[in-house]
Amino acid sequence: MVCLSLRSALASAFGIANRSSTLGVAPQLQHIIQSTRHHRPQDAAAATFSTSSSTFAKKKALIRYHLYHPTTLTPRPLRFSRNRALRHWTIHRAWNLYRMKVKRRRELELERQYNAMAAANEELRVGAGDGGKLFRKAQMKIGTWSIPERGGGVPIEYARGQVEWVGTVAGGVGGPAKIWDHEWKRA
Amino acid sequence: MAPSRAPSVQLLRSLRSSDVYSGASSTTRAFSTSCRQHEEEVVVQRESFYRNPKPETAFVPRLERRLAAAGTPPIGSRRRRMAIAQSQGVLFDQLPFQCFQEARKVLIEDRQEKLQQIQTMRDRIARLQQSDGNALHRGGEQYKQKRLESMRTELEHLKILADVNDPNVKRRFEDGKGDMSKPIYRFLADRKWRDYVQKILIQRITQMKVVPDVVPHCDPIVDVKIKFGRTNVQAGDFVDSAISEKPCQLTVQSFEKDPKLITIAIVDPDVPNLETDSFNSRCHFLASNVQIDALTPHLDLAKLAEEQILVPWLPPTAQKGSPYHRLSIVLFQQKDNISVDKAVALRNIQQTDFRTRSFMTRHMLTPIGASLFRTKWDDNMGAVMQRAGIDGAELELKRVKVQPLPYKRRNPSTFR
Repeated sequence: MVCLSLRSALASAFGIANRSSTLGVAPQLQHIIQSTRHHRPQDAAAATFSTSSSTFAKKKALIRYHLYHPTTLTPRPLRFSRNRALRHWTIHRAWNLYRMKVKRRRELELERQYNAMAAANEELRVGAGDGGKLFRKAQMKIGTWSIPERGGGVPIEYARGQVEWVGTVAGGVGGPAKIWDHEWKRA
Repeated sequence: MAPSRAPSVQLLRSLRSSDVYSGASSTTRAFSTSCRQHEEEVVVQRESFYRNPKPETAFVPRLERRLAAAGTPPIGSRRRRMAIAQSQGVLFDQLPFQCFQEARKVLIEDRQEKLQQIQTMRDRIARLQQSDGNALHRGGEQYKQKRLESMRTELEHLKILADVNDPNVKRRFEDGKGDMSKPIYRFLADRKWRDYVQKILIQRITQMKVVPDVVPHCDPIVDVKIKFGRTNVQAGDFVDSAISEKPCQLTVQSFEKDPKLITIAIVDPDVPNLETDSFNSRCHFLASNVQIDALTPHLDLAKLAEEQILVPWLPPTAQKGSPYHRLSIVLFQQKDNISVDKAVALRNIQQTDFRTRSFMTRHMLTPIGASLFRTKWDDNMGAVMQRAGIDGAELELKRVKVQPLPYKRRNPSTFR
């Protein structure tokens, strides 16, 4: 075999171990070669898992580029590969679907509560046997808000929406905030 | 494992590999277990990469040259080919991205719900069909039919909802591999068409006044594409008379499941009438009882059956000096798919003075699609007119010079 002998001659001349296997290579390198050859599926799956730091950093960089570019009026285009765009779309659709379902569930619950309330009122009006007196009494709003002399009820301050800040206009421009007009009397 | 990897990766890997042996009992990793099974096959398949390079994956210049010499040049960019060659070959559905897999789980669950609803709706329809209409409601049979119709519409809607969130469906549609026999692909195609092509079409037929001049109104629901042999014609293009001498091929894409019987009319409303100093409309082609459905959109006007053709193809012509002629193609749906009787229809048709509106009302037709192309005098027109036996090729039309009133003349005798 001319070819083999030539190869062995060259190998001896350059001082390389004449073997077809990778035994002569440094142990670290060997490890890499083996891992690439016997490509175990578990390894493969783990290698592409999204928590690997480098891909995660890349993703973050792209999204940051899209969101926080100095020219805020024209945000940078978010360019994805086909598969990634499809994955993005899938997640987007699932999220929208989830939100729609939550919304629908809430609406149905509200509707159910409203209907139950209406049915109870109707029962009180018709079925109590007192000609609807109890129903009329129940509908009266007297005593909801507390009047200091009578006591009880919810403080009338809560009749208005509670906010963190109140405009100072009522107390005059530059004056202190006038949250409640204590001097007011019915004319 | 390469030594540069973080220890957390190793931990993750060991966790995942222990998960494999727990089998299908673990619900959180159901997707990744199947993923591994698939990967094994793929990894076994891609062995001799250098022996037989593929045009999709070869990225080494030497292999590229070899492929090009073999007559199968590499596909796509080198970067893309390299990415494909070095990817793991994991199926899209099984890509191990956590959020993606969670999203898929939500979508699959929703699809199951939708399938359940479809089954319920089918059962309801069957039950309603068997029931007696008069006993059901005081509306009687009419009420029952109306209710059935709305339930069927709802069923179609549910079928679309079941599939519309599937990324694979989206991908297949974008690749043009959608099966038009399925409701979801018909829906997607319709949406895409309405998004742009239909708008352009409506603009053309209204700007060039096909709509009031030929038909009173038209809400296009089928896509019409015109082709003369290999020449594609956009709506409103000028077509050379030599090209339009032979009948055209139409691509009539319907987006509905049921086949339709249609009537095709090609009408030229711009034939100058010298006696009345106005324009006549001439019918260049008329065919009835043509069946179209979503799956077979191609329609060659030359290959229609003899009994379908009411007026055979007359080559579009325009005399020299006349304004351009609009050859408007209108598709009519025949009511309830009742076929038009050829003998009866021919009795009332005048080809040189074709009244589209009366034809429509006589046969109860509704316009469902329209398009047009234009023609004007060109070098081949004389020969075309001679071959078609239309005279007037040697005649040039000119506008009558309108003499201005004496006080509006530019150079009256009083000026001199």
